Amino acid sequence: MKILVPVKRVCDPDNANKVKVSADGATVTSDGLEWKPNPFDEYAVEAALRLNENAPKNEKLGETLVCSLGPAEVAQTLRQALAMGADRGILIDATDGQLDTTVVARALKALVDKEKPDLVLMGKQTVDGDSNAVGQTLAEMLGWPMATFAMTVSTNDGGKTLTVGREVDTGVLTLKVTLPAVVTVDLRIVAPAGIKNGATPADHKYNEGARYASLKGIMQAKKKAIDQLKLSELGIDTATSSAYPKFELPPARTGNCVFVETVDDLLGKLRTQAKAI
Amino acid sequence: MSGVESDAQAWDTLRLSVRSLAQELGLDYFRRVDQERTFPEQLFEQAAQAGWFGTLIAESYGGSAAGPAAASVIVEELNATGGDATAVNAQLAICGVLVRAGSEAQKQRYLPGIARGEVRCLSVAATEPESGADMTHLDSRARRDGDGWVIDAQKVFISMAQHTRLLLLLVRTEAGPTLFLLDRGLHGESLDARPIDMLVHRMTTMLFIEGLRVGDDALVGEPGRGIEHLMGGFALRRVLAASECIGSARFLLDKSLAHAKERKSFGRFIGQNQGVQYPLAQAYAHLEAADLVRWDALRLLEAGRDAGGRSALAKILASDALAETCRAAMTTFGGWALADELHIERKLRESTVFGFNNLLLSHVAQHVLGLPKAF
Ligand SMILES: Cc1cc2nc3c(=O)[nH]c(=O)nc-3n(C[C@H](O)[C@H](O)[C@H](O)COP(=O)(O)OP(=O)(O)OC[C@H]3O[C@@H](n4cnc5c(N)ncnc54)[C@H](O)[C@@H]3O)c2cc1C
Repeated sequence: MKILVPVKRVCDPDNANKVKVSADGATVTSDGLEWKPNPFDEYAVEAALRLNENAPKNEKLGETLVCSLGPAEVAQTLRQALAMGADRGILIDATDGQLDTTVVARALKALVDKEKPDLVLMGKQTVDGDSNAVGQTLAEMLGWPMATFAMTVSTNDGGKTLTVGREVDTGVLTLKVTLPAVVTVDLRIVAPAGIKNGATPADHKYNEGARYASLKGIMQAKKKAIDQLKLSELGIDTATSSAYPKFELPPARTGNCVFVETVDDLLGKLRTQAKAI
Repeated sequence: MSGVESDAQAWDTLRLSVRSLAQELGLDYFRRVDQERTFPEQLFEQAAQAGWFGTLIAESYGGSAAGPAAASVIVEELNATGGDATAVNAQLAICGVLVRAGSEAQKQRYLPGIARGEVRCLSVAATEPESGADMTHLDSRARRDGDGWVIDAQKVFISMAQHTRLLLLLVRTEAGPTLFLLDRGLHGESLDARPIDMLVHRMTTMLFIEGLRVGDDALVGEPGRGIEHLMGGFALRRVLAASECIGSARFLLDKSLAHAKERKSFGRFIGQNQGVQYPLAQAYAHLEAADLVRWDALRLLEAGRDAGGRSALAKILASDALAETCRAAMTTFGGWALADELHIERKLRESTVFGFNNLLLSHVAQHVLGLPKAF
């Protein structure tokens, strides 16, 4: 099956305390931050590779495309996915300021129209903006079935449909979707038996988590193509539909610890003092 | 996209994967291996899985042929993460002797296993109690006996001889210094390796071999050309040593910078004092310069050109930069530099093994600067 996986680079969540807001509050500065692939996107790449291979035979069964929107440096993020085993990369040149959920979803739709994948597999959200909206918006624009927060995916009917186990607050909700479709993945998709594709034996146990890029993979990735496109070449409306008027860092924590006697007491303090609810 | 760009991206990807592997093991893992003086089994296994050991081995023998720059990035980044690349460096580089000078049978038999990490090829035994820098003066011998050889050898300072399966042994034959490949799986009984207690955990041993019979199939290359076969890999080994130095120096520098910005004395951050700043800036300057020469040496190696002089410079500069960074780290950390829990102390000890440069200086003097031959 042909799978498209959008990946975004995010600043290393382990260094989140280095994030700074510009003096006028207009932007968040990314100076001196280290970039990493968004973890959920990495899981989506891993899930796509698992869907598209016979693991014990080390055989490829389909094509996995990775794409990213961002400045030229996001080629590095794509190269990492190619080193894990993805086949081809597409870089859509754009600056952070040009992008919001709607523009990203429109750009991905244009790419889907062009590449005609059977499945768009993506992270449920990025760990920087945490919007959790691109997958849903894209499915709506495409008019495709959608399954979000996937923790298991198995293929049926000779690859025409997927059974997706979705992680929801009350348990696991199972959906059957007909391809082409959009699926967004949660952390547990990379558990040892999260993916069943009918080719890799059902009792095959993967390592927990996304695979490391092996040295061979890294060297092969040097030769894989990364197609370069410009946002303006996609023929889409590039007007953003949301704007950030101002950024503020949360107040520094005081480290004071107050014990409350009752739940009502707690709710009261959350309302009046912390203004959290 | 240009080749230069995709190369740089490949090394960045490799750095990230080395880094996450080392971080997962954790600094305390390396501290424990050092304290308990054990072989870093877990690191070795994971490095094997990541395919690092096939770096210098052609794909037809199961390697990745990723080349010298990949090897260099791996050992640098392991040390930069606070790890210790000793065993990984040995496994990925020593087999270079077999790649260059080994027989077809030796290559087919061993290289695929070495690339997978299943066959450990960690030791070269050259140094003897009476012969160190001067490798031509060997007391260890192999004498012809029918269609084979009988070896009597005594070696000292041999790293990892207790943990390796394959060992390259330099002895004298009638033809001169000659290299043999010993397989401990075959002749383990006749190899007696005894640990030597050292300042640094390098799994150092004394090696005794008495009356060991081997066939011609154990010969590496031609009798009499043993030193030449070893030296063919020296340029790469110097660059890898330089890379290890640069990695360790980066680790020390990062730690020192963080400490200088956090630690207060006399009511202000110690990093505000020029006495702390300048040594760090100076060490950084020398480190960056060494790194450029190291990449220049790699450029030559990747192009298959002579990197003798450049690699010697890279090793000299990088080990000096490391020594300087060690001093700066000691100034920054004060007494804490010597407490093992901060991992500075371990790096200070490790840095000492890179400090011997006389023969390299002599190489530069004679072969690069054209001064008269000294010995
Ligand atoms: C941690 C560690 C690991 C080692 N691992 C191995 C190993 O795996 N296999 C192996 O075979 N050996 C190994 N060695 C040995 C190492 O290669 C020798 O220490 C080195 O060859 C020098 O020999 P030596 O110590 O006997 O010094 P000597 O040869 O006695 O020299 C003493 C000093 O004089 C200097 N010197 C000697 N001749 C000259 C000259 N002509 N011009 C200028 N200066 C000169 C040397 O540089 C040195 O500083 C290891 C050593 C250490 C410390």
